[in-house]
Amino acid sequence: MNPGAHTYVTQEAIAGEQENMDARAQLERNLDEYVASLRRYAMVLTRNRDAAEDLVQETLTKAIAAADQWQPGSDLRVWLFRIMHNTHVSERRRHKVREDARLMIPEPIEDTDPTKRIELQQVLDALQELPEAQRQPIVLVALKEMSYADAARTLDLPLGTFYSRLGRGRVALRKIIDGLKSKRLKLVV
Amino acid sequence: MTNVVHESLNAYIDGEIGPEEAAEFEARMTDDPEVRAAFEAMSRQNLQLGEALEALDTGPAHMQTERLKRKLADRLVRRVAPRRATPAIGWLRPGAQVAAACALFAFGWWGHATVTTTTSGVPEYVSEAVGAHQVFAGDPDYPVEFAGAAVDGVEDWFSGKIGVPISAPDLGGYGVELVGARLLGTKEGPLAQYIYEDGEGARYSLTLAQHPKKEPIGPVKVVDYPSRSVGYWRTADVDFALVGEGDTAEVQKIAMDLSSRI
Repeated sequence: MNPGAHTYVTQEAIAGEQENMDARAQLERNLDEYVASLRRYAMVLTRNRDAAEDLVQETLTKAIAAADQWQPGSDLRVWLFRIMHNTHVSERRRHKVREDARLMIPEPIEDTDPTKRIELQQVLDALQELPEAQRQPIVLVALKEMSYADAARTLDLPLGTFYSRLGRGRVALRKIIDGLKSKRLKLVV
Repeated sequence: MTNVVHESLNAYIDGEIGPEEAAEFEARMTDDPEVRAAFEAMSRQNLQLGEALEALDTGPAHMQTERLKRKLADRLVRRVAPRRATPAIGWLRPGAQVAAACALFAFGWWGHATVTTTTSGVPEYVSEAVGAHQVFAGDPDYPVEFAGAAVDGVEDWFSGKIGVPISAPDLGGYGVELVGARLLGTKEGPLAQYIYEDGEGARYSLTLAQHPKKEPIGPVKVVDYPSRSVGYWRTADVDFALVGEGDTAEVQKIAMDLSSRI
């Protein structure tokens, strides 16, 4: 600034600044929620905490680079999940991750009720038995109420295909959980 | 059960069908115990799955992830709320001169602190401190590396890393107690973060960094970030940033008192 020059702030500029602050606060709240869901989805996809964090970071890095392509008013969550899904698919192709990789998902935090803890872990174990094509639709719908249309767009699937994968996956999941329960019963008896 | 019934069942549970189809499906459940039992089993399974995913331990918040999240917010906010014209530069109008003089008196000379809502131009270590507060102070499971009394035992180690003698100041006079501390590695160099908590669980973090010799020292400035405020000041040896989520005035008061004490 030139010596002697001063700055004055107009009412419009103050309102603009406030508007920006409000928009940013709302965005930060949304991002906190979306990134928490992304981390969970990444855990299910990668089965490993470090790999999940890497996937989240890569997703965010790509989102930053492509921020100009995001359309205000469109669903930011779907956009981020779609980036994560595509990133994961590319990574799998590059590294040829084995489909039968051993489950490495850490146990749930829930520790107040041991029976419940076992039940939740059984659900996660059963989930890992499913082929990825069935696991992804199930998890996306389970994570914070993503609609079928949003989840299908995230996975780049026609809605009909999405319906049938979700349906078949849930039935298969139920059978696996029932199988795990009966094994446990036999052990107890 | 047929695949069609299974698809209707899923769509009904997930709220993906209209009211007429929903009524039809409900009638079917009333007539067919097998469909009813499948509905109950699937609902229970979905509930458990949601709980299991919610309870997944994704580990402590990660600094780099938080940094990227902030950067993404920076980029997206420009698209959501494009900035209006920047403040005009020119001679102050007479009325504004009086207001500015009052403001200068109130916040500048008398208070020895400046309060502003704009976050541009703050030193990088302050941005790091705000980010670290968000990551660690808000984390109920992994807030600190060294808890409570263990902080005293690592004072020399912290001082060695930062490059100047430092210690955790006592903020008991403000009703906040030290929870613990951690060292952070940033591109600005190592930072020491002390986390405090008041009786209601609200947290403050005080971040300390070695003062770069080529940069000027400075009095307390207070900056408002969304949902948190930071008071920062720079001395010949150490730079400080106090971040709090409560009242800006409270952050300013503690920062002012600390800056005069340390």
